[in-house]
Amino acid sequence: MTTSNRVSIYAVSIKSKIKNAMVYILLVLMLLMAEIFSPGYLNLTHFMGILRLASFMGIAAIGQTFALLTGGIDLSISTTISFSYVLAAQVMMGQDSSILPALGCVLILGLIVGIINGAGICLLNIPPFIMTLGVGSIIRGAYMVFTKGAPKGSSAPLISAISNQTIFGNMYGIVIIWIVLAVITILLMKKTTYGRRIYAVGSNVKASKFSGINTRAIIFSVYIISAVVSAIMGYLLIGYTGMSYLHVGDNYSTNVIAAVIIGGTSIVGGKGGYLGSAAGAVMMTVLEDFLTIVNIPEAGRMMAQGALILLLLMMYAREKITRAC
Amino acid sequence: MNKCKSLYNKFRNPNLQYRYSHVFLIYIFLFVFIVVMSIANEYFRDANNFRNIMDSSFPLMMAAFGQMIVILTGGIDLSIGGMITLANCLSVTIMTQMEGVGGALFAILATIVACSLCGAINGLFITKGRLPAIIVTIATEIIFNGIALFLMPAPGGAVNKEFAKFIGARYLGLPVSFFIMIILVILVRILTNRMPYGRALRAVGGNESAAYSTGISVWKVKFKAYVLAGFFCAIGGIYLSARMYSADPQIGTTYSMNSITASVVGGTLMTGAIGDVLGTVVGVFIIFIIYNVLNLLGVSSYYQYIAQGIILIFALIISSFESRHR
Repeated sequence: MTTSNRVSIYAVSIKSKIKNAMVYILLVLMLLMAEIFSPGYLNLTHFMGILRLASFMGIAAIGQTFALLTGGIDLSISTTISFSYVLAAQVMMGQDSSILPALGCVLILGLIVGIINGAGICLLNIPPFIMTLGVGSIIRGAYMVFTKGAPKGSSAPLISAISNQTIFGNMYGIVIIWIVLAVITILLMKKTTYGRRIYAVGSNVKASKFSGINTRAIIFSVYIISAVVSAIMGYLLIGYTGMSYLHVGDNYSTNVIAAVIIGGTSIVGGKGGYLGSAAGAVMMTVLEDFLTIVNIPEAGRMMAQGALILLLLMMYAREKITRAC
Repeated sequence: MNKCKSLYNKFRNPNLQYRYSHVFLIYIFLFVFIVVMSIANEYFRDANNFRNIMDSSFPLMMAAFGQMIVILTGGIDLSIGGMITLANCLSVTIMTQMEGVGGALFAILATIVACSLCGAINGLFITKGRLPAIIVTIATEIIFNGIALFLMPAPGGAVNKEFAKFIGARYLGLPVSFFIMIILVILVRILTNRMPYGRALRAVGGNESAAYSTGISVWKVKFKAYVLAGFFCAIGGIYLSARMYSADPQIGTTYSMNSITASVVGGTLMTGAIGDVLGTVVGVFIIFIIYNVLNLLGVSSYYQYIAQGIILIFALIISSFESRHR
């Protein structure tokens, strides 16, 4: 029995090829501009610092990419990050010995959040954005109650070293962790059956269901992955800042969505991948860094952020012209 | 006798039951809830408490009206909080610059125009731009909050005294907000249930292509819905300015989610087309009475976030059961 060569039957037009490559083109352009405006930007030490910042956004983008690929969205990522951040700080209390217990607590938190999200979205048929919005609010209340408004604890030295100490010259441990997670994510999405099913569910839920894919399980698992990875990200984030603060995750909600959209993942699901999201994360970090350097006040930064997302949406996410428009 | 019979038959009409069963149920729930709470807690029974609830729930009421209209078309508006913040900061900024009642009137007019414009921006990006409503409104919320922050970097400002007194006054023992609410409820109900635009709203929410085939200009209907949302946010924000005597660039953070919660509790289906103002009113009251009860019981205000989320999810669960049985 001969297996025929698998021939790609996709006719990818030039326009969509450019669209796919857009994020990388934009990223290179942006880095060049940054170098022109502030020489020394592409200095290896500085760039590694940028990569370090971007790894946090990149890890958060893993969960969001999974959620967007199935056609949903996860708006509880920011508050899950905040909760696992303060939880990790509290359990670690600056001791190296409490690293594993803290990790365990954070993983359990992620699992619980993911299961709640998944249950609402899959079993109760609640639209993802509302379910995650509601759960996000509950998590926010939960960590406010947990810390009673005053976050305690600090990071263990080992976790701080991951984010703050350079190894092999200029590389940070967190960047290595991000690269490892990124490779795992890309392999999972592109090379496994599970990943293929995620794309299938995102493209057409009904067709996937009739093809025998357990859509409920796939969507459920996606939200569990999203919550667990966000929880891990919060756990690593405490290493970066050392002290415990409230609402750290708020910065990551819209920026991560923007990063994933720039990266080419479609809002309605089924298209895209993590490599683009990773590049998008770096780009958003560079942009934020740029806005800080140029010293725009907070108000201007917010307007620029919102305008940027709208611009990206106009480039990437316009739906087809239907009759009813 | 015949009149009684026809009234009874009207009541037994399955269409009526289908349309109003949810609203009816939550009115009963609200009534029972209030009675139980009044018996249980002495502070709750106080007439002043009810007036406070009415006053403090008015901005959310406006936000929920706007949100309900948008949800009826099948869309969503997460920038409601941003528009309320903007309305608040803009009206106070203008009133600080311009003295007197003229200043207050100009502030009201300018805020209404500005927020309707914000709603129009939303509507344009969503209809003509063919972008998904969720992310557009998330982005515009950030923009509106940014503009508000630009106008008012820190809480403060001054409000015209006559205007604030008028808004805070009591006639017949009821606050002004109650009267404004009654008038607006009647107007919105007429709009959504009797007027052609309301019918077009529900048609678009039910089935866009079918509505288009009937000759309804879908994009215009959706666009107007978002503009109306902006208009209601303007009223809510102006009211906030009068009540708070100042502006706060952080004021609007909870309104987006709470307006959705109020609409869903009130029986508005997220898929569109089904929803009633009367229900939304009850939804707002339920949320605020729960907050009030939590306050009176001495529960930390942090629990409000948890309560918000739980009410929303609970309401969605009930809503999903209802749709399934249909």
